[in-house]
Formats: sequence, C-alpha cells, structure tokens
Amino acid sequence: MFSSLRRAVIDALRSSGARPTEVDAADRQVDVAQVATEPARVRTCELLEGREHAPRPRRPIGSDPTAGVGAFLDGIQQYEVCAWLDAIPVVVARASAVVRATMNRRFVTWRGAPVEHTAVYLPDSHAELLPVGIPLVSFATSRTADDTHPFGVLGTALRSLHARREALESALAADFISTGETRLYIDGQLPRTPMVLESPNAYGVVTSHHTLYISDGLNTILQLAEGERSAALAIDTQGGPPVATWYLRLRTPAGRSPLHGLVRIEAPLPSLGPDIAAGADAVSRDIFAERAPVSLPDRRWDVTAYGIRNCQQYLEARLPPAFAGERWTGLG
Amino acid sequence: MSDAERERPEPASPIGRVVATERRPNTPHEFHFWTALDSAVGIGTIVRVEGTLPVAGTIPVIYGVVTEGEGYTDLASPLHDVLGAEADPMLAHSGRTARTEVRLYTAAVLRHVPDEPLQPVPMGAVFLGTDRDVEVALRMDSFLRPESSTGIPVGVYRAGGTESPIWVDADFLLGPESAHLNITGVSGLATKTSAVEWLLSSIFAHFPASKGSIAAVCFNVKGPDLCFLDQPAELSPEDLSIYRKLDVPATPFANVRYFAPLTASGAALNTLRSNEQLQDNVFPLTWGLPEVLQYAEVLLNRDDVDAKAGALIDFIAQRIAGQRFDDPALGTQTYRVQSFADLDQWFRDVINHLEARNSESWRTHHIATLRKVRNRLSNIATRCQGLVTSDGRASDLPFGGFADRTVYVIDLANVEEDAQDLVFARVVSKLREHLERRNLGVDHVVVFVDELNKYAPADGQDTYVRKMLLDIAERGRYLGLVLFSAQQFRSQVHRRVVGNSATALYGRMDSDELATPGYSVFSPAIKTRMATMDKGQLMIRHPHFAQPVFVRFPRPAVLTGRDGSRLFPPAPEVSFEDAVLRSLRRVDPALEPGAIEHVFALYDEREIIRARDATLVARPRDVRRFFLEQFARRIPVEPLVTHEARKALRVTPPGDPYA
Repeated sequence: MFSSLRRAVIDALRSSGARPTEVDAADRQVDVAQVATEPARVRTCELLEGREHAPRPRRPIGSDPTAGVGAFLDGIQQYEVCAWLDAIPVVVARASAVVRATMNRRFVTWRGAPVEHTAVYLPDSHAELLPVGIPLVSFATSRTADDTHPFGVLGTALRSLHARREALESALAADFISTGETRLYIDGQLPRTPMVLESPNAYGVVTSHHTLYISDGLNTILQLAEGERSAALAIDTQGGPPVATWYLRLRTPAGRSPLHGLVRIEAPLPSLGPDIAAGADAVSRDIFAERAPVSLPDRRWDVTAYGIRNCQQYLEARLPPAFAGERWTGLG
Repeated sequence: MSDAERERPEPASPIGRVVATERRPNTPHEFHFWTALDSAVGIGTIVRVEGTLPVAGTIPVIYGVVTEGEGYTDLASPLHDVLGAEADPMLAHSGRTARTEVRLYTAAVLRHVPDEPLQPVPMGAVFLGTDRDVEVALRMDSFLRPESSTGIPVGVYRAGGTESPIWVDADFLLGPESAHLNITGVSGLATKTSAVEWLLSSIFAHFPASKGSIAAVCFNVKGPDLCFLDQPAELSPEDLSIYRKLDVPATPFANVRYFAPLTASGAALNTLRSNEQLQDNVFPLTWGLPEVLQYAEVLLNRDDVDAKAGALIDFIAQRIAGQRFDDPALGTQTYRVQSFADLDQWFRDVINHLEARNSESWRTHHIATLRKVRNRLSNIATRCQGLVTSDGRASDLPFGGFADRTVYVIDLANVEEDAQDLVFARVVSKLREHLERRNLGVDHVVVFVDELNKYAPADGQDTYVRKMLLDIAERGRYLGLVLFSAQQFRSQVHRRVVGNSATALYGRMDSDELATPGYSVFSPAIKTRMATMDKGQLMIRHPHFAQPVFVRFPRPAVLTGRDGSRLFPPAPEVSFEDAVLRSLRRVDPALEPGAIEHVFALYDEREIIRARDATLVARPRDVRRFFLEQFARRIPVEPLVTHEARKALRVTPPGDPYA
C-alpha cells in the first residue's frame, strides 16, 4: 500500500535534514492493542547509576558468564460472558499462573501444578442472585452513567479479573522466592510485595511500553543497539522499597519500530549488589541469554522469552473447553 | 473380568498417553500415542493401552505394535532455529533451554480385549508390553496351553529391557490348519539358511508328541552351507541365553544323513562333504534307468515331448529299461537295458534294423520319433552323469524307513541344474507317494528348498517342478508334507506358492524389492527397518499375529559352510583306485590296498564300479571276498593243464663253438 507516497515522504524528510528510519514491510502494521489499550506516558526517574561519575547513557552488557535464570513465571486469564442480566454481563472467568522451572534444559512445573481461580464475576448489586457454593467475585461499580454502560460494566469485571490474576502471580512469586531455589524471571513488572521486592532472586521483564521511564531524553532508550542497556533508574513502588529499572535491547530494531526488541527490566535493589552497574550488567546478561530458543511464531517473539511462552502454552493447554477458542483473551 | 485382566502383572509406570485429534483420529485398527523423550519405544515395540471407561462392564485393553514414529518441536520453521542460534550450531547446543519436543508414535492394533464391541482405541495410559502382554497380543495364549501346547519358539522379542519368547503354532506352521513357510532376504546378510537351521532345531525340540514324528529333507544346491549340520559351532553367551530361554538344546542335529550322486567317473561321491572324517553318514544317491525315465519329462520341454515321443518314452520305461527284452525282428539277442549306454545300444540296433530294411516304423513308432527320443535321452544321460548307475542298482533315500528327528540332506551343489531338477522332482514325488500311503516312516516331512525363484518363478513357462511345488503348497499340508522355501526376491516367485505359505519370515531386504507392490501393506518405517535389520533379526508374519513382529533368533548350533570347509576341508581328488578303496573301507575299515589292487589291472572301470556298488549295497561281513566274487563269475577258474615234458630235439656237441 502507499508505496509511491511512502517513497516520496521518506525522500522529502531526508531532504529536510531529518533522518527517518525506514520500516520493513512486516512491521508497518502497528499492533492496535498496544496503542489503544492504555494511555501512553513518559516518566522521568532518578538515575541510580553514574551518580558520582558522568552517566553512561548506553553501555554494552558484556559477556561474562552468570548463574542464569532457573524458572519463569507467567499467568493468563480467560473469560466468557455466559449471560446478560439486562445490561449486566455475567462473566465466567479463570485466572491462572504457573512457574515453569528448567531441569536439564527441559521445563517442569514447579509444585506439579499451576494456581488457578475460577469464578463468576458480577457487580455487588447482583451478587446475591447466586447461591452459596458457586465461586463469586463481586466488584463495585460507580454510579456514573458511563460506568452503567454494558461495556463499562464488562470493563470493570475484566479489571477485577486482571487484578485477581496479578494477585495469583504475586502470591506464586512470593512462594517460589521463599524457597530460594533459583532466579525467577517474571513476565511484567515485579509484584509489589515485600518478599519479592527484597529478594535477590527475582527479575521483572516488561515488554509493553505504555509508560516509558527516562532520566534524560527518549533517544537514549530508542537508540539502544542490540546487547546494550540504558542506565539504571529508581522506580517508586508506592511505599515499598525502591526498584531498579533499565532498558535492554534484545534484538536489533533495524527496519522495525524503535521499540522492537526492547524490554524494561525491574530488579530489587538488593539483587544488584553494592556495584549497581556490575549487578545490572549481570542481570542483563541473564535476560539476554534467554533470547534462545526463539519464541516464534509468537506475535511478540522479539521480546518474549521462550520460557514465558512455555508458561502460556502450558496454561492454555489446561484450558477447559468452554474457554478454548474465540472467547478467551489474555491480558498483559 | 477377562483372563488377560486377571493375569495382568503388577502395574508398571506408563510410558505414554494415547492422543487423538480430528485430523489424526484413532480407529479400531490404529492409534497414536506420545512418550517421553527417553522412552524405550521404537518401531516394532509392542505396547498395551488401558482404557479408563468400562465398555459393557469391562475396562478395554488394547495391544498394539508400533509402526511409525514422529518427532517434532514447536518450531514453526527451521529458519527460526537458525535465528535463535545466530546461525551457529554450537550456540544452539549450548543454550540454557531446549525446545519442547514430542515423540509421537502410531501403532497398529494387535488385539482388543474384549474383542467385542470393536471400537476406536480409547484415550488412556500406554505401557510397554510385558511377557504376558506379548503372549496375549499375539494370541499365543490360544495355543500355549500347558496341557496341550502346540507352540514352536521362533525367537525372542526385545524392547525396553524385556525379552519375550515368540511362538508360532505348529498346527499353522506344519499343518493341518495351514502350513508352509517362506523366507525372503538378501543373500549373505539375511541368514535365510541360518533361520531354517535354527527353526528345524526348534521344531525337533518342541514338536508336540501328539502330532507324531517329523523329519526334514534339505536340498543343498549351492555351497557347503548345509554340509555340516552334525558338527557343533561355537556360540556366544547371548546366543546360549536365547537357547536356554526358548528351551532348545544348543547342540547340532543328532541324526543327519547326507546323500549325493557320484562323480561322472562313478568313482567317488560328488559332494562338498568329502573330508574323510565325515564319511560315516554320507551315502550315494544313485538311480537306475527306470527311476530316471519315470521323471524324464522334468528335463524335457513341451517341444521335446509330443504325443508320439511321449508314447515311445512310456514304452521304453515300462518295457525296456530294467527289463529283459527281446524282439525277433531285432535278432536273437536279449536286451538287458540297465544304463543309458545300454539304451543307446538298443536304439542303435532298432534304427539300424529299420534302415537295413528300408522300413519307417517299428512297433508303430516312426523312425523319426526313434531318432528324436534317442537324441533327447542321450542328452539326459550327459546331464545326469553320476546319478544313473551302470547296473541299474539304486541307492536312494530310505523311503519307508525315515527316522524321527532326522535331517536328510541331498547335496546337489556340484551337480548340473537339470540333474538338480530331476532329483528334486523325484524325491518330492516319492515323499508324497509314501505320505499318501502313510508308510514313509514319519508322519511329517519338512522339505527345505532354497532359490525358490528358480524352481517356481512368477513368470516363464510352466515346468514340472513348478507344478509340483504348487501342488505341495496348495495340498501338501493335508499329507504332512511341508515346504520351507527361501529366496532373495519374493516378488519373483509364483504368487500361489508364497501365498500359500502361512508363515513368512523376512530378513534384511533389498530396497528395490521393498518398492514392489507386494510390500505396500507395510508402513515406511517398517520397510526402513526391514532394509536395515542386522543378521539374526527377522520379521515374522503368522496367522495368529494380526501384525508382523520383529524377533531375534540365535545363531544355529551347527557349523557354517565356511567354518566347516575350513575345519574339514574337502578331500583332494584321488585316483580311481584310491576312490574305490575308500568306498569299500566304509564297510570294512581294515581293508588293505593290496587285497584288491590286482582287479584294477584286470578289469575296466565300469566293471569295478559295478562290483563296488554291489558290495556297498550288500555290506557283507567279508568285504574283500564279496567284492572279488563279483568278478569271479565272469572268469571261471580252470584247472591247470599239465603237458608231458618234451624231449630235446638234439644235443649240442661238446666243444661246439656255435652252441
């Protein structure tokens, strides 16, 4: 589409002194879900690295060997609207999370099973319609006109489901970390629980970038080359211990979006040791090593570790028939 | 609860799970299952599936044999693996995580328990087959009854650390339900002869007493492979353990008798088993002219034997050969035709008689027919030298006196092909005759024929031998005449011969042969395994087995042809005198050369051989006397005539200088 116009635009931009990065055909269709789900934000944070010295905005992570990741944690959620009570959707949903640990390079399920929670999701106003014995999660709805819209109620139900899933993941992460067995790779941000935030054995890897955390300009992040990371910043955890975060480029973005192959790592400060830079390098090398096997044909293969994909496949394989197929959706 | 369920051993851990999708469903005859990567399952493995839901009150159990296997990962394209490893194979190998991998197998169903209702194989756990599972799966439990077993062990099935005996049913191998066995395999690799030797040992050890006695007749048509069946071989511990497991003695055949025609000169036996140490059980196979003429059509094609020639040959066989014949038209001579030379002399006299009188026919036989038949029969004489004796005496297999558990080997390796056909035709015909009359000496005979594609080719003109083999294949089981046949290319053998072999063995196969339509019933994985089997491995098809099974059999406990030739090399060619002496020494080992050496100066070879043959047949106590008496009748001893001494005519005077 638009080939002649595209060519004309690129040429015109270059003529004006700009340096546009051309995008390969495969990446010209931007994922609408990434753009439209949440509002995009940029947050400025305190620099952790390089306080005493000139900050190094970008640095290679090196190739020294590290202990490596020993387990992966992820969760999924599935729902279906099984009925309507006038404008109120009756949602049946399941949230589940699992830790898949590596043993002799193959995955095994920690504790032999995932954690799962299946329930009906209804507003508080309708909770009494169900008898005792049917698992129920009720949620509050505001009285604004927009929130009484059927899709508004559904959105609230799904947010409640999402929160339930995060709670499962958080609890599972804390259980695993308490065993001190090995390093845990968590999909998404670190759960904001003391057990996790004070552990030396947990990393959060964020792959969606609705919020970008910077200390100086955006270009520092967007111009990272493969195998480079940005300087570590401190993130406020709203009353909890601070978390270090930085960006790491897993795949070269040439010919693609500037966010291609880019992940944001969250690590508890204790995990980095006294030398934050060296600690961040080591953590980055652990994450970088999980680029193989490639997670293709996953849509987000450039930033999804194979172990995380394996968690998703495992949980999806356990879906009951009612959730298999078109009506389920994984959020996050 | 079925017998199979009641007798099932303590549950072991499952090695897999049955799976089915819409694209690859399970059927009553085939199912799929996955296993762990380190499971012991492979092509040919026997497995057991246990259902979870009862059907008609019984939990179904299904037995299957693996026919195909697949392995794959979640890799969508090989390029993705290249990407992940940065195009460096070492990186792929050293990565922290390996891709999820599945081993998916397809198995053909061997048996459902219960048999009805016949339904698709259900989801369930998959177990490696135990000894008992193998027995049930192959329906061996139906004939391995403790009180009346008709099982003959053919080898062991190996998988996952188990080693289960595999049995075939004697009622289906040796009759009467069905019979005959056919072996296919590449020469030199597939061990067809070894398989037959092993199987005969097993049959002799396990043939049910209720079925009577059994012997074997083997035709050795090439090499010395069958020439040392009574000599022990060295066996490996692995082979010995198989013998023990199958309860077959690891010993050579106790009773073997060898038969071979004579050389063209008639002096010695024309056999590869000529070492002096091994002559105790080697006997001549010789026939008189009548025996050969009876099967002349084996060697004559349709063009040779029209109705007229056939009538003349019949006349000769009934009235001339081996008989005293005279015809005033031919003079006063009485003919005693006992050899081809005698026959040729008779032909010459008849033809000369006709030519002298300018006549065209003798006793309704036209002179042209006489000439033609003379030509054809003299041709046979050339081709069957050594098989026909000069005096008409026959030295034959002991028809009527066959012994139980005895192997009779007819060594034809050094004999012309036509003579081989003749021997085969006559021996098998005689076996059949005696079995029909129930006076062979044993109740069952196994006839082993190698190179079946030569004797019963799929195409080409119909020959006597092929017709005979067809007859045996189709009707022999009712008489106890069982054909064990072997060939390199089954596709080149007559379909009705191989088709009537209820049991089929396959050794290592030629790839081109596997590409022929007859093997299309096998999966690609099975065919690949057939093309790559080791020596000592076979695939078996048997009426009781719903699917072919792979087994290993032990090395036969007899010397191979190569080892036998090395340990017992053939005797060097000896002089006529030594050959005759050697033959007589078989009856009297103490016979000295000097005792008979004078006959070689006085008589021709033909007479000496006649005397020798008569001695070997009679086996007298005084061999020398009997042998010499064969000549004594022909030269009567006359009293010495004494003459008067004659007077000298004159006396030379003394002092005569010219005396």
